[in-house]
Amino acid sequence: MPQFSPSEVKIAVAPITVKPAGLACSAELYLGAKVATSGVKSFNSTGIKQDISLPITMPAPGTYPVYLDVTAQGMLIGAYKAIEDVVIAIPAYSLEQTAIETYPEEGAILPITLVSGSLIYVGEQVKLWQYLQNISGTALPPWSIAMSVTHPDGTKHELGEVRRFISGDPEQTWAYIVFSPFSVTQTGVYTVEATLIVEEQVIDELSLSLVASVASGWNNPISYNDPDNAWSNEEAAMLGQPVTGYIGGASSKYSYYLSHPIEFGFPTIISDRLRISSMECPMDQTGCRVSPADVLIDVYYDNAWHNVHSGNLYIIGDDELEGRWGEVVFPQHLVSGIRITWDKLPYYDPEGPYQWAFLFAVQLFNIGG
Amino acid sequence: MEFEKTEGKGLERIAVDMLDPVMAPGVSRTAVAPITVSPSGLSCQAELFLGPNDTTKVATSGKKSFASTGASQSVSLPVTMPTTGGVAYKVFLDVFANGYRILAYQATEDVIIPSGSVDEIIWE
Repeated sequence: MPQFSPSEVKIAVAPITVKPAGLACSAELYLGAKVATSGVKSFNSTGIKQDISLPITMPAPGTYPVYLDVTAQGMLIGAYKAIEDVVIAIPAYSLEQTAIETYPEEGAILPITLVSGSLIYVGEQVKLWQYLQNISGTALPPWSIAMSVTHPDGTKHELGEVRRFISGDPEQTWAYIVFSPFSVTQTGVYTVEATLIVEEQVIDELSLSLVASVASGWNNPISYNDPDNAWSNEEAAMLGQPVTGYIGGASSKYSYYLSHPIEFGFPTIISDRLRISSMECPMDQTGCRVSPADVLIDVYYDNAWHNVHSGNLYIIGDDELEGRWGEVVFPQHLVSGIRITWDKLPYYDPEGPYQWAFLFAVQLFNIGG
Repeated sequence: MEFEKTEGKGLERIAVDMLDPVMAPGVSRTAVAPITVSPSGLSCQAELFLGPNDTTKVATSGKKSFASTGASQSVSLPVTMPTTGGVAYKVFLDVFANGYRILAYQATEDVIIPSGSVDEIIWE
């Protein structure tokens, strides 16, 4: 009895003779109640034997009868049943669930199983876990899992292995690999593909579609532009963490002004507000916390920047309360960017303890969602 | 499917539509032939048969009687298809009047009885 593995692609080559020559013919090979089928393959009769290739992707484990239907000019001229059934065996090693790493509370990590169609959100960093099952009853031989993600724009990225866990007990049957995270920067379908390789043989493959949308509520930036290279740690903004503005170098010891804008890109969303958290301010010469004046905030819509705030940051937030968010409301538009310019910065001593002029995070509110 | 005359003094050519020239082995089908015999009132017969030639009748409707009307008549000619497949059979139609064959036609298209066989399947 032919024995195969689930999802294995095999080609049945059927020597078929149809007479007379010149007839439009078709053949379809299928298992069981068409749980797997080659589909209808067309050919023209020649009056002599022809090898017709009929590819089949093997179904779930089980034993299946094999059927072959042959038609000529649309008429069924032969319905065959193979003498031997096909057996789909349970593989010794197989890929199991794919999970996304989440952080339900401080210091905790919780992988949550994904299914095709699971939602992810623009602005997220997605870290995937891929599990495998080992029912061989023996320890896993050398193995690896290759994982890639194809973004909605068609670009494909291989994900690196961050760490792996293997059950120390051969009787235990599972293991997993955690892969390097990827950034969700586009709406659309992200296709995750995993391939299990054991002893240099491809044993199993799976594919998973994740649907990326813009989260309702507050969204982190998905890109930034720091044209003057005046800021640092901008990538943190994509995670909702502070960005730091910095004036460095001896020549700027007595700088009072910082007019280097930083731009943050967002998925285009309907919005009427943004928020910014001032998380730390420098101190003045007397050791008192100060706040910069003339903070300019622009939002991008209708192919142009539009100012929505100009003035002291105190009016939108209380920087004495670290991490507190202050909102700026503006007329509703399809917004895709926020630009912030600290037009005037108070004195600070770059040789002193407060090298960082400012830390802040910025988010845009999605009315739709 | 069209017929062309091979013998006789009737119409030079009679066109006959046959919608499905591919038949399964052993099935019974009825050919409906529009036949015109003049003058009216003659005792007529028609026979449709399949074969490799007009002297070897592999399958036949037998002679079906009708009386001529001088106008076109649809004459039903039931035939059980040959059980031997894989062959294209020629189709012949003979028309008799008062016992004399007055028309002999051969269809321009053959009736095809397909056959198929499958040998051992190999998995690659």
